[in-house]
Amino acid sequence: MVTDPLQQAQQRTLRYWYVDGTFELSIGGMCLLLAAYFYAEILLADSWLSNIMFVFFLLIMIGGGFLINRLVMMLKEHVTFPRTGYVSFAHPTGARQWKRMLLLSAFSAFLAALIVFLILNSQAGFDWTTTVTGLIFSAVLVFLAWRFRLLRFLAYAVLSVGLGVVLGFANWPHNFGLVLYYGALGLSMLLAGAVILGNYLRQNPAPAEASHDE
Amino acid sequence: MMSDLRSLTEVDRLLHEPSRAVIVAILATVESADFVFLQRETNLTKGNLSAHLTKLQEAGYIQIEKTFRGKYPLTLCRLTDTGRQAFQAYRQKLRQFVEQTK
Repeated sequence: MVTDPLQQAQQRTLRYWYVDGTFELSIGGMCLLLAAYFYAEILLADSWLSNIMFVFFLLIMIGGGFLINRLVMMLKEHVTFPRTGYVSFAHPTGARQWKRMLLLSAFSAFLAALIVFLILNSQAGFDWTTTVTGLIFSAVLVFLAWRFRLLRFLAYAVLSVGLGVVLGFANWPHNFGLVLYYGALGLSMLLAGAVILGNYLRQNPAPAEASHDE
Repeated sequence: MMSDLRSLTEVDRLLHEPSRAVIVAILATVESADFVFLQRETNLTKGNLSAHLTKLQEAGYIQIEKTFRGKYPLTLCRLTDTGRQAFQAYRQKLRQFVEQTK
Protein backbone atom coordinates (compact mmCIF):
# COMPACT_ATOMS: atom_id res chain seq x y z
CA MET A 1 0.00 0.00 0.00
CA VAL A 2 1.52 3.29 -1.15
CA THR A 3 0.91 6.04 1.41
CA ASP A 4 3.49 8.61 0.33
CA PRO A 5 1.60 11.31 -1.66
CA LEU A 6 4.54 11.74 -4.02
CA GLN A 7 4.61 8.01 -4.71
CA GLN A 8 0.83 8.07 -5.15
CA ALA A 9 1.18 10.81 -7.78
CA GLN A 10 3.86 8.75 -9.55
CA GLN A 11 1.72 5.61 -9.40
CA ARG A 12 -1.27 7.49 -10.88
CA THR A 13 0.96 8.77 -13.67
CA LEU A 14 2.15 5.25 -14.51
CA ARG A 15 -1.48 4.06 -14.53
CA TYR A 16 -2.41 6.76 -17.05
CA TRP A 17 -1.51 4.45 -19.97
CA TYR A 18 -4.32 2.11 -18.90
CA VAL A 19 -6.99 4.73 -18.14
CA ASP A 20 -8.89 4.65 -21.44
CA GLY A 21 -9.27 0.93 -22.23
CA THR A 22 -6.99 1.06 -25.29
CA PHE A 23 -4.68 -1.50 -23.64
CA GLU A 24 -7.57 -3.98 -23.41
CA LEU A 25 -8.54 -3.23 -27.02
CA SER A 26 -5.00 -3.94 -28.21
CA ILE A 27 -4.62 -7.17 -26.20
CA GLY A 28 -8.11 -8.25 -27.31
CA GLY A 29 -7.17 -7.64 -30.96
CA MET A 30 -3.95 -9.59 -30.54
CA CYS A 31 -5.81 -12.52 -28.90
CA LEU A 32 -8.32 -12.64 -31.78
CA LEU A 33 -5.43 -12.72 -34.27
CA LEU A 34 -3.95 -15.67 -32.36
CA ALA A 35 -7.34 -17.42 -32.30
CA ALA A 36 -7.56 -16.95 -36.08
CA TYR A 37 -4.02 -18.33 -36.45
CA PHE A 38 -4.73 -21.51 -34.43
CA TYR A 39 -8.03 -21.99 -36.29
CA ALA A 40 -6.24 -21.64 -39.65
CA GLU A 41 -3.68 -24.17 -38.41
CA ILE A 42 -6.50 -26.70 -37.88
CA LEU A 43 -8.13 -25.93 -41.25
CA LEU A 44 -4.82 -26.19 -43.13
CA ALA A 45 -3.51 -29.23 -41.26
CA ASP A 46 -3.46 -31.38 -44.41
CA SER A 47 -2.24 -28.66 -46.75
CA TRP A 48 1.37 -27.87 -47.73
CA LEU A 49 0.83 -24.51 -45.97
CA SER A 50 0.95 -26.29 -42.61
CA ASN A 51 4.74 -26.53 -43.01
CA ILE A 52 5.17 -22.78 -43.10
CA MET A 53 2.49 -21.81 -40.59
CA PHE A 54 5.15 -20.77 -38.07
CA VAL A 55 6.04 -17.92 -40.44
CA PHE A 56 2.47 -16.60 -40.08
CA PHE A 57 2.82 -16.97 -36.32
CA LEU A 58 5.93 -14.79 -36.36
CA LEU A 59 4.16 -12.31 -38.65
CA ILE A 60 1.24 -12.09 -36.22
CA MET A 61 3.50 -11.70 -33.18
CA ILE A 62 5.75 -9.04 -34.73
CA GLY A 63 3.61 -7.37 -37.44
CA GLY A 64 0.32 -7.66 -35.56
CA GLY A 65 1.87 -6.32 -32.39
CA PHE A 66 3.40 -3.41 -34.29
CA LEU A 67 0.16 -2.57 -36.12
CA ILE A 68 -1.93 -2.77 -32.96
CA ASN A 69 0.57 -0.54 -31.13
CA ARG A 70 0.34 2.05 -33.93
CA LEU A 71 -3.46 1.88 -33.75
CA VAL A 72 -3.48 2.37 -29.97
CA MET A 73 -1.07 5.29 -30.27
CA MET A 74 -3.29 6.90 -32.93
CA LEU A 75 -6.33 6.44 -30.71
CA LYS A 76 -4.51 7.99 -27.76
CA GLU A 77 -3.30 10.94 -29.88
CA HIS A 78 -6.82 11.70 -31.11
CA VAL A 79 -9.00 10.68 -28.18
CA THR A 80 -7.12 10.51 -24.88
CA PHE A 81 -4.39 13.14 -24.99
CA PRO A 82 -6.60 16.09 -26.11
CA ARG A 83 -9.01 15.29 -23.25
CA THR A 84 -6.83 14.48 -20.27
CA GLY A 85 -3.36 15.53 -21.32
CA TYR A 86 -0.34 14.33 -23.20
CA VAL A 87 2.23 12.11 -21.50
CA SER A 88 5.29 10.56 -23.07
CA PHE A 89 6.59 7.62 -21.07
CA ALA A 90 10.32 7.12 -20.66
CA HIS A 91 11.83 4.15 -22.47
CA PRO A 92 14.77 2.33 -20.93
CA THR A 93 18.08 3.03 -22.64
CA GLY A 94 21.58 1.56 -22.54
CA ALA A 95 22.17 -1.33 -20.14
CA ARG A 96 18.56 -1.29 -18.87
CA GLN A 97 17.24 -1.64 -22.43
CA TRP A 98 19.53 -4.64 -23.10
CA LYS A 99 18.62 -6.22 -19.79
CA ARG A 100 14.91 -5.89 -20.58
CA MET A 101 15.38 -7.30 -24.12
CA LEU A 102 17.38 -10.25 -22.77
CA LEU A 103 14.76 -10.99 -20.14
CA LEU A 104 11.94 -10.80 -22.70
CA SER A 105 13.81 -13.03 -25.14
CA ALA A 106 14.56 -15.61 -22.44
CA PHE A 107 10.92 -15.57 -21.26
CA SER A 108 9.61 -15.93 -24.85
CA ALA A 109 12.02 -18.79 -25.59
CA PHE A 110 10.96 -20.55 -22.37
CA LEU A 111 7.27 -20.16 -23.25
CA ALA A 112 7.78 -21.39 -26.82
CA ALA A 113 9.73 -24.43 -25.58
CA LEU A 114 7.09 -25.18 -22.93
CA ILE A 115 4.20 -24.99 -25.41
CA VAL A 116 6.03 -27.17 -27.97
CA PHE A 117 6.87 -29.68 -25.21
CA LEU A 118 3.22 -29.79 -24.08
CA ILE A 119 1.92 -30.19 -27.63
CA LEU A 120 4.38 -33.03 -28.36
CA ASN A 121 3.79 -34.79 -25.04
CA SER A 122 0.08 -34.20 -24.65
CA GLN A 123 -1.66 -37.07 -22.95
CA ALA A 124 -5.24 -38.13 -23.44
CA GLY A 125 -7.77 -36.71 -21.02
CA PHE A 126 -6.50 -33.19 -20.38
CA ASP A 127 -5.43 -30.29 -22.62
CA TRP A 128 -2.36 -29.00 -20.77
CA THR A 129 -1.39 -26.59 -23.57
CA THR A 130 -4.50 -24.45 -23.10
CA THR A 131 -4.35 -24.63 -19.31
CA VAL A 132 -0.69 -23.62 -19.15
CA THR A 133 -1.33 -20.81 -21.67
CA GLY A 134 -4.11 -19.56 -19.38
CA LEU A 135 -1.84 -19.74 -16.32
CA ILE A 136 1.03 -17.89 -18.03
CA PHE A 137 -1.28 -15.19 -19.35
CA SER A 138 -2.81 -14.77 -15.90
CA ALA A 139 0.65 -14.53 -14.30
CA VAL A 140 1.45 -11.59 -16.62
CA LEU A 141 -1.91 -9.98 -15.78
CA VAL A 142 -1.34 -10.43 -12.03
CA PHE A 143 2.08 -8.78 -12.41
CA LEU A 144 0.48 -5.81 -14.21
CA ALA A 145 -2.25 -5.61 -11.54
CA TRP A 146 0.41 -5.51 -8.79
CA ARG A 147 2.78 -3.16 -10.66
CA PHE A 148 0.15 -0.55 -11.52
CA ARG A 149 -2.36 -1.24 -8.71
CA LEU A 150 -5.10 -2.05 -11.24
CA LEU A 151 -7.70 -4.36 -9.73
CA ARG A 152 -9.50 -5.01 -13.01
CA PHE A 153 -6.41 -6.87 -14.24
CA LEU A 154 -6.96 -9.40 -11.46
CA ALA A 155 -10.42 -10.06 -12.90
CA TYR A 156 -8.85 -10.69 -16.33
CA ALA A 157 -6.32 -13.02 -14.67
CA VAL A 158 -9.14 -15.01 -13.02
CA LEU A 159 -10.93 -15.20 -16.38
CA SER A 160 -7.74 -16.43 -18.07
CA VAL A 161 -7.16 -19.18 -15.47
CA GLY A 162 -10.84 -20.14 -15.54
CA LEU A 163 -10.88 -20.44 -19.33
CA GLY A 164 -7.61 -22.38 -19.31
CA VAL A 165 -8.82 -24.90 -16.73
CA VAL A 166 -12.31 -25.37 -18.20
CA LEU A 167 -10.93 -25.82 -21.73
CA GLY A 168 -8.25 -28.11 -20.31
CA PHE A 169 -10.94 -30.43 -18.98
CA ALA A 170 -12.99 -30.06 -22.19
CA ASN A 171 -9.89 -31.39 -24.00
CA TRP A 172 -10.80 -30.43 -27.57
CA PRO A 173 -8.72 -32.15 -30.24
CA HIS A 174 -6.12 -30.44 -32.51
CA ASN A 175 -5.49 -27.36 -30.33
CA PHE A 176 -9.08 -26.24 -30.75
CA GLY A 177 -8.91 -25.38 -27.04
CA LEU A 178 -6.40 -22.63 -27.91
CA VAL A 179 -8.78 -21.25 -30.56
CA LEU A 180 -11.56 -21.08 -27.98
CA TYR A 181 -9.25 -19.71 -25.27
CA TYR A 182 -7.83 -16.86 -27.38
CA GLY A 183 -11.23 -16.21 -28.97
CA ALA A 184 -13.08 -15.95 -25.64
CA LEU A 185 -10.32 -13.96 -23.93
CA GLY A 186 -9.97 -11.65 -26.96
CA LEU A 187 -13.70 -10.93 -27.13
CA SER A 188 -13.84 -10.35 -23.34
CA MET A 189 -10.90 -7.94 -23.51
CA LEU A 190 -12.43 -6.09 -26.47
CA LEU A 191 -15.74 -5.80 -24.60
CA ALA A 192 -14.01 -4.59 -21.42
CA GLY A 193 -11.92 -2.12 -23.45
CA ALA A 194 -15.01 -0.76 -25.21
CA VAL A 195 -16.86 -0.28 -21.88
CA ILE A 196 -13.84 1.45 -20.28
CA LEU A 197 -13.34 3.66 -23.34
CA GLY A 198 -17.05 4.54 -23.34
CA ASN A 199 -16.93 5.50 -19.65
CA TYR A 200 -13.74 7.48 -20.20
CA LEU A 201 -15.28 9.44 -23.09
CA ARG A 202 -18.43 10.18 -21.05
CA GLN A 203 -16.39 11.41 -18.07
CA ASN A 204 -13.96 13.46 -20.17
CA PRO A 205 -15.69 15.51 -22.86
CA ALA A 206 -13.60 16.93 -25.70
CA PRO A 207 -12.07 20.33 -24.80
CA ALA A 208 -12.85 23.63 -26.49
CA GLU A 209 -10.15 24.41 -29.07
CA ALA A 210 -8.63 27.68 -27.92
CA SER A 211 -8.74 27.10 -24.17
CA HIS A 212 -6.68 23.93 -24.14
CA ASP A 213 -3.79 25.11 -22.04
CA GLU A 214 -1.84 28.03 -20.77
CA MET B 1 17.23 16.32 17.86
CA MET B 2 18.71 19.74 17.07
CA SER B 3 20.79 18.22 14.27
CA ASP B 4 17.66 16.52 12.87
CA LEU B 5 15.87 19.83 12.76
CA ARG B 6 18.93 21.52 11.26
CA SER B 7 19.00 18.88 8.50
CA LEU B 8 15.36 19.64 7.72
CA THR B 9 16.15 23.33 7.26
CA GLU B 10 18.67 22.29 4.61
CA VAL B 11 16.05 20.78 2.29
CA ASP B 12 15.52 22.32 -1.13
CA ARG B 13 12.96 25.05 -0.42
CA LEU B 14 11.87 25.16 -4.04
CA LEU B 15 10.81 21.51 -3.88
CA HIS B 16 9.59 21.71 -0.28
CA GLU B 17 6.23 22.99 -1.47
CA PRO B 18 3.57 20.29 -1.99
CA SER B 19 2.40 21.33 -5.47
CA ARG B 20 5.92 21.74 -6.85
CA ALA B 21 7.03 18.46 -5.26
CA VAL B 22 4.10 16.65 -6.93
CA ILE B 23 4.85 18.30 -10.31
CA VAL B 24 8.47 17.18 -10.13
CA ALA B 25 7.51 13.69 -8.85
CA ILE B 26 5.22 13.25 -11.87
CA LEU B 27 7.85 14.50 -14.29
CA ALA B 28 10.40 12.15 -12.70
CA THR B 29 8.35 9.12 -13.85
CA VAL B 30 7.83 10.20 -17.47
CA GLU B 31 9.81 11.58 -20.37
CA SER B 32 7.47 14.57 -20.65
CA ALA B 33 3.96 15.62 -19.68
CA ASP B 34 1.84 18.51 -20.84
CA PHE B 35 0.14 21.34 -18.98
CA VAL B 36 -3.33 19.70 -19.13
CA PHE B 37 -2.09 16.50 -17.53
CA LEU B 38 -0.20 18.33 -14.78
CA GLN B 39 -3.23 20.52 -14.07
CA ARG B 40 -5.51 17.47 -13.74
CA GLU B 41 -3.06 15.69 -11.47
CA THR B 42 -2.30 18.64 -9.19
CA ASN B 43 -5.80 20.20 -9.18
CA LEU B 44 -4.19 23.62 -9.46
CA THR B 45 -5.69 26.54 -11.35
CA LYS B 46 -4.03 27.46 -14.65
CA GLY B 47 -2.50 30.55 -13.07
CA ASN B 48 -1.07 28.70 -10.06
CA LEU B 49 0.33 25.87 -12.15
CA SER B 50 1.86 28.38 -14.54
CA ALA B 51 3.55 30.19 -11.63
CA HIS B 52 4.95 26.96 -10.18
CA LEU B 53 6.23 25.83 -13.58
CA THR B 54 7.92 29.18 -14.14
CA LYS B 55 9.71 28.92 -10.78
CA LEU B 56 10.90 25.40 -11.57
CA GLN B 57 12.02 26.49 -15.03
CA GLU B 58 13.93 29.48 -13.63
CA ALA B 59 15.77 27.14 -11.24
CA GLY B 60 16.73 24.95 -14.21
CA TYR B 61 14.74 22.00 -12.82
CA ILE B 62 12.39 21.67 -15.80
CA GLN B 63 12.35 22.55 -19.48
CA ILE B 64 9.18 23.95 -21.04
CA GLU B 65 8.48 23.64 -24.74
CA LYS B 66 5.49 25.36 -26.30
CA THR B 67 4.24 23.73 -29.47
CA PHE B 68 1.08 22.53 -31.23
CA ARG B 69 -0.39 19.07 -31.58
CA GLY B 70 -2.89 19.28 -34.43
CA LYS B 71 -5.13 22.24 -33.65
CA TYR B 72 -4.38 22.26 -29.91
CA PRO B 73 -1.60 24.28 -28.27
CA LEU B 74 0.67 22.03 -26.26
CA THR B 75 2.92 23.03 -23.36
CA LEU B 76 5.34 20.17 -22.78
CA CYS B 77 7.32 19.97 -19.56
CA ARG B 78 10.26 17.69 -18.90
CA LEU B 79 12.61 17.29 -15.96
CA THR B 80 16.23 18.30 -16.52
CA ASP B 81 19.18 16.36 -15.08
CA THR B 82 19.57 19.12 -12.48
CA GLY B 83 15.89 18.72 -11.54
CA ARG B 84 16.19 14.94 -11.31
CA GLN B 85 19.24 15.18 -9.03
CA ALA B 86 17.54 17.82 -6.89
CA PHE B 87 14.42 15.65 -6.53
CA GLN B 88 16.47 12.59 -5.58
CA ALA B 89 18.42 14.61 -3.03
CA TYR B 90 15.18 16.06 -1.64
CA ARG B 91 13.58 12.64 -1.22
CA GLN B 92 16.75 11.30 0.34
CA LYS B 93 16.80 14.17 2.81
CA LEU B 94 13.16 13.63 3.78
CA ARG B 95 13.72 9.90 4.19
CA GLN B 96 16.75 10.54 6.39
CA PHE B 97 14.78 12.97 8.52
CA VAL B 98 11.90 10.52 8.96
CA GLU B 99 14.33 7.73 9.86
CA GLN B 100 16.18 9.88 12.41
CA THR B 101 13.01 11.03 14.12
CA LYS B 102 11.43 7.55 14.41
